Parts: sequence; C-alpha cells; structure tokens
Amino acid sequence: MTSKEMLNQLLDQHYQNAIEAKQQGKLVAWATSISPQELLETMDIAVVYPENHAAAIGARKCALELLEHSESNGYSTDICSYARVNLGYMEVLESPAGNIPLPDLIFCCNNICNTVLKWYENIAKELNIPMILIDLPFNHEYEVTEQNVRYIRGQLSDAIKQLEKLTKRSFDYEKFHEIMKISSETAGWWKKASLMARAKPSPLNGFDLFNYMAVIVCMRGRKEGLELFKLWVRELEERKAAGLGPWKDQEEKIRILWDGIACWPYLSATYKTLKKYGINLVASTYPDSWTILYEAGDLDGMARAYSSNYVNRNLDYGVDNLSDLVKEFSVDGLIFHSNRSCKLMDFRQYEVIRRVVERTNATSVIFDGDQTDPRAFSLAQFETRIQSLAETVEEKRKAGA
Amino acid sequence: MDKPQQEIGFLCRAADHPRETVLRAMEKTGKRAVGCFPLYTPDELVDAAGFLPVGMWGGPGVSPRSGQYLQPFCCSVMRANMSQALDGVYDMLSGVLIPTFCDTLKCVAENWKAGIPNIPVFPMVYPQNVGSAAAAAYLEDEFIRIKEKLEQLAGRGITEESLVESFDRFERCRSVMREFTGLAASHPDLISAKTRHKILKSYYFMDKPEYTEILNGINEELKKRKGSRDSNPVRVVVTGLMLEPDALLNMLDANRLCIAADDLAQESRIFRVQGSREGTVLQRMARRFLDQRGDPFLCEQGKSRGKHLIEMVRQTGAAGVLIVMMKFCEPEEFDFPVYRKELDQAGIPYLYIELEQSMSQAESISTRMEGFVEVLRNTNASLGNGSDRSAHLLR
Repeated sequence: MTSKEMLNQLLDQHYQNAIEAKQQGKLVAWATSISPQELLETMDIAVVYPENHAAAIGARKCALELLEHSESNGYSTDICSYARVNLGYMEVLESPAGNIPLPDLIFCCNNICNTVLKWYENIAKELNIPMILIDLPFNHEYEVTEQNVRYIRGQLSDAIKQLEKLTKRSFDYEKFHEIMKISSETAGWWKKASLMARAKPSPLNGFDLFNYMAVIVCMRGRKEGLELFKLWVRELEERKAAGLGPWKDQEEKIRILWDGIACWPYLSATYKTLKKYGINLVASTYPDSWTILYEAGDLDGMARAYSSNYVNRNLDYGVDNLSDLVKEFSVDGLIFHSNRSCKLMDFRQYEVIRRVVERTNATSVIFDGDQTDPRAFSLAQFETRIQSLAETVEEKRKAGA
Repeated sequence: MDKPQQEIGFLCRAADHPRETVLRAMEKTGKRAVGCFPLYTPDELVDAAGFLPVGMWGGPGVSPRSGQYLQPFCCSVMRANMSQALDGVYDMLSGVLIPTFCDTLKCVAENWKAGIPNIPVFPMVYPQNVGSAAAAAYLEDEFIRIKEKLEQLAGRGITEESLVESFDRFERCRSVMREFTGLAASHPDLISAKTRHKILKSYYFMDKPEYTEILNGINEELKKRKGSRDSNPVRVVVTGLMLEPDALLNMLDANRLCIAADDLAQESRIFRVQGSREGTVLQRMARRFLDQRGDPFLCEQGKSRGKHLIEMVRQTGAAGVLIVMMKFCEPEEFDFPVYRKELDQAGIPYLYIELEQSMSQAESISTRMEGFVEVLRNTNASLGNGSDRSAHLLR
C-alpha cells in the first residue's frame, strides 16, 4: 500500500469510527485542530475536528450551501468560513464530502485564534453540551512565559477532572503516558517528512502537506498515524535517492514558501497554476504547527509545546521563523494568502512581508482569498500574482548570474 | 444656562475634543498619560503609578497609513487607532496598554511595536477560562507583570496604599457612572441619547477625580429634577461595541429614542460589575473582571448575553433592543445569531444596524430606524412574531 492509499483509508476509518462510536452511545467530542487530543484519546472519546471537516467540504466544492445556511441564521459573511461551514453543518447534518456525528462535548484550544472561542461557545450553547476549554494566552513575549505555563498546566489538570466527571471513569495515567509518547513520535515523523523538501529538487510536492495534514490533526496520538508518516518518509527518501523531483511531467524551477491556509475550494486550480510555472511549495508554517514535542509525562512541557505554535507567537518570532525557513529550504519566493477568514494571520502579514523580504531578499506576492468561501477568491488575480512572482525570480536570477 | 446644563455641556465638549481634553488634564495635574485600548484595562494600576489613563476608542477618520499594517476588512476602530498613532496624534502618551481580547487586537499590539516605536506598548492577555481555578491566579500574575512595567515607566514603585486609594477612586467613579445611567433614563428631555454617550465617553479623556465630581453633581441635579417633560419617549436597550458615529447618535435623537439601559463595551460593560470587598486590591480587580457575564469578549459557557438583554428590557420597561453592530467585530458578530433567537423567543423586537466608526452619514439606516421607532410606538407587542420583525434586519 502507498502512503496516499493509507492516508485515504485512515481518513475514512477516522470518520467511520466516530459515526460508530456515536451509534454505540460512546462520547463524541468536537475539537480544535491543535489541541491536546492526548487527553481525549486516553479517555477513549471519539474525536472529530470541524476544521478538517470544513476543509474537506471546501475542497469538495460544497461549502456554499452551508455558508448560506449560516448566513441565513444571522452569521455575518465577515466571520471565519470554517465556523460558518461548521455551524451550518451542525443544523443541516448532510454533506457530499462525508458526514460527522454531532458532539457530546466540545474541546476547545485558542492557540490557533480567539475565533474558536466564539465558534465553539456557540456550538456548546446551541447543542446544550459541555465545553472544555484550554486557554492558551497569545505570546506577546518571544518565548512562552512560566506564567503562561502555570496557567495552562492548571487548566490541563482541570480538564482531566472534567473528563473524569463526564465519563464517570478515572483517568488512566499509564495510558496517557503511552499516548503522549506516540503523539510526540508521530509529530517527529511529520516534521521529518516536511524536511525532505530541503533537497533540490524536492522529492515532496508541497501541496501534499495540505492532504497529509488531516491525519496529523486527527491521528497524532494513534499508532496508525505514526505508521503513515513513517511510510511517507520512506517513500520520499526513495524518491530523493533516485533524484526525483515533485512531478513526473514538470521540473521544479522555483521553490516557494506558502503562508496561510490553503484555498480549499480552489486547491486544484491553485496547484495547477503553480505547477504550470514549475513552482513547488517546499515550505510553510504548517509542519511546525503540529511538531508538538515534549517528554512523555511532562505536563509543563506539554503546556509549553501546545502554546508554541506559530500563530500563537509574536511578530518577531514569525519573522525569524519565516526567514529561517527561506534559508533552510532554499526558497526563492513567498506567497502570502490574505485570507478573509483568518484575521490573526492576515493582520500581521504586511509587516512580516517587509521584514522577511528585507532579511532574505526573497521575492514575495500576496493574493486575496479565503480558506473555504469560494466567493472571496479570483483565479485571474491569483494567476497574475504568480506570473509576476515567476518573472521577478527569473529576473533576479539573471541579474545574479 | 442652569448648572446641570453647564456641566453637561462641559463633559460633551470634553468628549468631542479628546486631544485637547487630555492635554488639559495633563497640564492641570502635572501627570503623564498612558493610553488604554479597549477593553478592561487596569486603569487603577495606571493611576497608582501616577499616570492619567486615557481611553483609545478610535475616531472618525482613517488615514491611508493604516493600510501599511491592516487590510481593509479590519474593524474601523482599530484602523482608526493605528492611523492616529502613525499620524502622531498620540504622541503625548508615555505608553500604551493593549489588552488583546480578539485576534485583531493581538495583531494591532504586535504592529504597534513595529510602527510606533516611540511609544512603548504593553500587551496584556486576560484569561478566557474564567471558570478555571487557575484563571484568578493567572490574572493576578498578569496585573503584577503590568504593574512592574508601569513602575519602570514611572521610575517609581507603586505602594499598596496608593493602589488601595486608586481602586477606591475608580470604584467610586464607576458607581457614579452606574447611577448616572439610571438617572439619564428618566430624563431623556435633558439627557438625550447623544448627550448620554458623550457624558460617558468623556470619562476616557479626563482626570478621573474631576470627572467623578462633575458627573456626581449632574446626578444630584437630576435627582432634584422633576420627571421628564417628554412623556412618551421610545425606550430601548442598546447593545454592541459602541454607540458611534455621531451620524447614528443624531438619528437616535431625531427619533427621540431614549436609552433605557446599555450593554455596550464602551459604556456599561466597563462599570456594571462592582468590585468585591475581599482580598488584596489585585485580587479584587481580578474578581471584578472574572465576575463579568454576557460579554462577547469573554468566553462563557451557556452564553448569558441574551438572557441578560431580556432581563434589561423587562427591568427597564424598554420597548425593544437596538443592536449596533460594529462591522468586522467578530466577537460581536458571533453573538448576534444566538441572542437574536432568544429575543425572538421572548417576543422582544429589535433593530440590527451595521456600522463603521468612520461613517460620516447614516442615511442608509434612517428609514429602517424610523420604521422601527414607529412600530415600537404603536404596538409594543405585535412585533414579537411573524415576518414583520425580519423586515427590520439589515442583511
């Protein structure tokens, strides 16, 4: 079996498990994408990730109906489209992209944005179900402070107590230890796969990160997830050893870093546009977002790791991080997605671009789009920007030569 | 002009001329000033450190310079703050506190470090998990951290005694503001919606002891005054971020709308919770924050905002709810579908209007406003069901 086949199988299995769990009367949680799923896995609670589901709905081009459903309920079009898709799905309960069971509890971590606080609070209110919150304060300081670690750690302990109360079972710390170990190991292999793109040409077609990401979100604490990433790394190593680039029918001419979430409804169109110019996505901020590493058993380390993701860090960190990626992955150009849904990523972009470009001399472009709302993207604008990026990179090369 | 009118006029002018008001307060008190972004800044700490806390709630104009940092789909209040900062309007400030309650505020605090390096910024993060036992300790730590920053800025320590004095001073100010909102609702002929807003807004720019005494004087005069000469005002509860711009206020006054009570971030939400009497000052400050309910910027299981609005309507005998939605304010936008449903179920009519602080005209909403007022005047009850209601929603 190839890793791609395994990926699809695991995702089918993931959704099927959740549906069966619900049918068997087991607890189902809806959780945010970078949350300590270790706690839920330990308690044997089936977990579904609305962001994953919304992205899948977007990619299958069936988001619009759900977006409009939410809008008719009074949700402004300015609100994050993942939230609008999910809050619509919560009532419609039917999507050609696949179905998920309604939750019995909400598990929310705001290390990705404060939008999820509102979104999940609304789900919990509408469905009248409990919400477990782990509040991870935004890090305006460069590093995660001890003050924040103490607060997060306290909440992890609270969450364990809440879960014990909900499941009427005591928390199995031995199992927890084991799952922490698997989670860190899986995260390590996910990172390893992404690092394969450092080779020139990259054996990794970077858009694959968008696909494999679904599993690092939903199966980080499971052996099957770990196996998938090991297999993927093996395949990439073989490709690298054979000197293969990302594509059979196109050469890797330009290497780019992608900032922001994919435009799911136009995933294939954006991919094809880039490929046409020989542009391969070799780096993004995604790999590190799930490179959540800590020693098994170390709750302080876990607290720090879950608060350390890129979007929860300050602007100086963001600039250092992107600049380092440009160097490490030999990036020629930067593509910034000004995503109508994601204010937290957008409203730092302009300053980040200025500083990263100044520091690395990479070429950059920014385009307007949205992660799932098909109405906020223009393929013509995207293509124009990409064309200009390709031309500028070529000109710089000629001038350099 | 009689006394309350003079004092009212004084506060309204203070609200209309923030810069001049702040400079005058600085000159009069000999103090430096620290800017306080929305929301819930620890003004007591700023005061105890010897600074004047100055509110920063945007302004009417947005210069193109904000576009160097923020996309056009950023809320107009934050675009205005960024514009004014880049244009040097805030150069009299010695520092700025930015509590980063929403994603936009997080980014603005970060951009400030880059774009306005001459004014030090102190971002603050309030806890969202208010039900967790760890939240109170965290918030106290956060106050201590900010206290130390302010001490460094002031070049002197804050004594426990001065902190107690500051807290008491602000508690008194908040209680006078609470009393004022109650009295204003009974005197709409003297305190129009616009006047009410300006009087409350002037808090942000004035020296607080002076403001408290003037407002208290107005309260005393209102208590002596006989009831309103306007025997039939339309009383509404207003909810949202803030009651601006002026074009909106003028429209409220033209329609003789009386604010029976408000649930506005810029107004009652900052003073409606009374501090507890137990614990150290920092613990009391933390408790005052953690006791806040029905606020879109604070995560709350069970979301009591709708219930809170319904109670406000019933307690004040208001005829309906005016929803002032600041465009692109995600926390406010997320709450609307939930409390709308609750208002519908309670049969309470409402009008939803979407605004930007930078709007100079509000003609687009005037017809709907007039229609809403007419319906409230004629039939208080019949609007609570059926399709009439949806006609009042801006979509």
